[in-house]
Order: sequence, then structure tokens, then C-alpha cells
Amino acid sequence: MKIVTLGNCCKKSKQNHENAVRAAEKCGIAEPVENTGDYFVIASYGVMSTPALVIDGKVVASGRMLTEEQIEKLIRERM
Amino acid sequence: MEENRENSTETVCSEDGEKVASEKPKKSGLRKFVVALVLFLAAVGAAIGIAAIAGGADGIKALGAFVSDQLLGMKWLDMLIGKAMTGMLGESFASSRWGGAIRFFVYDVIKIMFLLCLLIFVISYVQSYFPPERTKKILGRYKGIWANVMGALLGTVTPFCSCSSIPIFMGFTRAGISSGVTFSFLISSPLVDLGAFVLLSSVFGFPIAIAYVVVGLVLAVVGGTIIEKTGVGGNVRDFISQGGAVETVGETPTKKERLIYARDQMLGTLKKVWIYILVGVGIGAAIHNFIPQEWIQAVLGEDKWYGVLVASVVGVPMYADIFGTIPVAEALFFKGVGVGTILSFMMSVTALSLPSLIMLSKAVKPKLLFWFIVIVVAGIIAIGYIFNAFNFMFVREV
Repeated sequence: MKIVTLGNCCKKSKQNHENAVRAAEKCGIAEPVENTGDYFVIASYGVMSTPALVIDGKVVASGRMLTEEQIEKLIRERM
Repeated sequence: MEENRENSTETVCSEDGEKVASEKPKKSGLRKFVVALVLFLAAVGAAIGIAAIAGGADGIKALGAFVSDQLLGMKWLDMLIGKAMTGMLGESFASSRWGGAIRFFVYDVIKIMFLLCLLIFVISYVQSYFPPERTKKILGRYKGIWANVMGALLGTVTPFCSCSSIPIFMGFTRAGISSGVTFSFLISSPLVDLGAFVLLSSVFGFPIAIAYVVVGLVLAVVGGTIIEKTGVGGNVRDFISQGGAVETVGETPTKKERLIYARDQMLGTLKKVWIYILVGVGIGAAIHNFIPQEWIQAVLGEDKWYGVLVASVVGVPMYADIFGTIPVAEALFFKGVGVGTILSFMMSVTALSLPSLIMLSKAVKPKLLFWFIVIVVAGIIAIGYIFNAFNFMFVREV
């Protein structure tokens, strides 16, 4: 399962990424969680406000920070 | 302290049923808030109704003055602080300069902090209905000048921080939204919002607050239109328009998620802007009590043709939130500075700031950036002169 967090310019985005890393660990996902602040990449997902979370190429949340528990739930739903 | 706050926000965010212990108080807290909000709105409606029955049009007018002076302006708080100071420290101190400055400071800090918390919560809740992705979809439906008007209006309710401005710019452009509409959105966004409106009502009364919102929107519509019609709007960096439109994903949060979002926004904003407010009120208090009226009149007085120019140009490099700007404006207002001059000052401080210009310069070519600044500054200066010419309409007893 490929998880990408979008946005790294503000505290919220960084926190979002950390939460995603911890959630992935909990769910036993071996693939590392990627993070990007590249506007091309962000725009190519159709996301206009960060932080955002992408799981397997699908945007599951944008414009808000998710907690570790929320991300864990999103991952488990897709496992 | 910092650490603690982080943690508390996080527990609030947690959606999971695992944290049963923290679940209960959180829920009842939220519910209490909703009940309070509903009761408040009902009370407002009832008050307007009673006023209309009791005094007709005059009744509503008196109610309006009461709301802007006592409820939003909290004049009673000012009186209370004055009385308390006289009681504790004596009449001579309370009426001295320092006494006056401290009174202004305490009153303004309490008032602005209180209004800020209340406002950010309500605004964020409304904003949660207008994420940029949705705004883009709505804007795509309008054509011509109406698109600019919608852009300006949506700019007031769409939340975004300066790091989102490039993705927003790209998303808008690729969806075929014209540069003019995008700029209408970008101009109105920092300039006009509900918070500015309520704070302005509290300090200057409703007529000036309404005037501020209306001219802010007009500036956004006109500015965006000029940028488009003159063709300078085409000067965006190549990467902005390259690549096709992407279907954006919208999610519909639940009511609970919206409330949590609003609460987080409130805490986040408070953490970010409190220092601006303290500094702003401090400057305001200093102007209010220590700087002679003649000095201010000499630079910013209505009879001086350059007053508006000075106010606008001085404001551009200053970076402050609208909440930090208002106390300074308030003090200038009491010193008899014209309404137009004050509006120019506030608009130039909030509309153009260095961080947002730096972000924008990554998305547009220097030519467009230059004209963007010129148009906004010229518009702000024009607004200042027009308002000073009609000053007599806004002056009220203070």
C-alpha cells in the first residue's frame, strides 16, 4: 500500500505526515510513507489545499490535518 | 505550555472510539456549545422582533446602536475598567496619561480577544463549507463580470494559508478560470472577511463596517477585471498553466468534524495572532494617550492632501493581521483622522504583505506582480480620497 502525504510548508502538514508515518507503522505497512511539497505533484492530484493524504493514488483527505487514529482507520478500510 | 496545548488539541481531534475516557467530556462540550449558539441566535432574533414591535424603525435603529456600542463595542467594559481604576488607584491616576493608556490597553485586549475567539469559531464553521476545491467548481459556472463578483465573494469565505496559494492558483488556472477572476479572489481574500466586519462594527459602528466590506469587494472586482482586460493577467509562470485540469476530490465532513475543525482553527489562530494583537493595541494605546493630536493631524489630517498617500504607502510593507490593525486604526480615529485615511491604512496593511507577495512571485511573472501591486495600491488610495470626501456621512459622536 502506497501512502503519500502532501504539503510540507506549515506545521499542520508536518504533523499530518508524522501521524501518517505512525499510523502506517501500526498497521504494519512496510512501504515507507512519502511526503512531498512539490506543487506539481500536489496539483496533479487535484488537491488545492494542504495538508492532504493520498492512499494508493486516491486522495482521501485534503485541507485538514488528520490524527493518527483517523489515518489508521482509513488505511484499515482499504487493506 | 506549548506542549500542553498541542496535546489537548490532538485529543479533541481523535475520532477513534478507543479513547473512551476522553470521548465523553468532549462530546458534551461540543453539544453545550451548539446549544449556546442556537440560544444566542434565537435571542438576537427575539430582540430585533421586540424592538420592531416596541419602536418601529426607530426601535431597530436604537437596537443597532446598542449592539454596535455595547454588545460588540463593549463600552460597558470600558466604563467598568475606568471605575475600577478610579476605585483602586485614585481619580488622579485614572485620568492621567498612563491611566488612560492602561485603560485603553486592557479594554482593547479583552474586547479583541473575546471577539476574535467567537468570530474565528463561527467563521471557520462557515468556511468548512467552502474548501478551495468547491470554490473552484462554483466559479467555473460563472461568466464575465459575475465570475469576478463570485470570485470576490468566495474569497471572503474560502480558507487558505499562504502556502496553499500556489496550488490554488494552479487549480483555478487549469480549470479554465480566468486570471481576472483568480485575482478578484486573491485580492478580496485577505481584505474582507466576517471578522473584519464585526470588529469594524464594534469600533466604528455599522455604516463604516458596511462601507469597508463593500469597497473591499468593489476593489477586488475592479482590480481583477483590469488585470484581465489589459492582458497583463497572462503573465503567469509556465508551470502554472501546463498540464490538464484534474478532477478535484471533495469530501463532505460531518457536522461534528466541522465543529472540531472550527475549534482547532480558533485555537490555532489565537496562538498565531495574539502577539500581533498585543503589539497593535500597545501602539494604539501609545497613539491614544501620548502622541499629541496636532502631530497626527499634521501628517494624516483631512485637510492635508497627502494624508491618504502617507497612510497607504506606510501600510504596504507592514505585515499584520486585520485584528492587530484595528486598535491602531481605532486610536487614529479618536485623534480625528479621516475615515478614508484610516480605511486606506487598514487595507494596505492587510491586502499586501511581504510573505504573500513572495509566494505570488513564484506563480506569476514580475510584470504581473508589479501591476498587481500598482492596481491594489492605486485602488486603496482612491478609496481613501473618496471616503474622506464623504466623511461627514460617517462621523458620529465618540
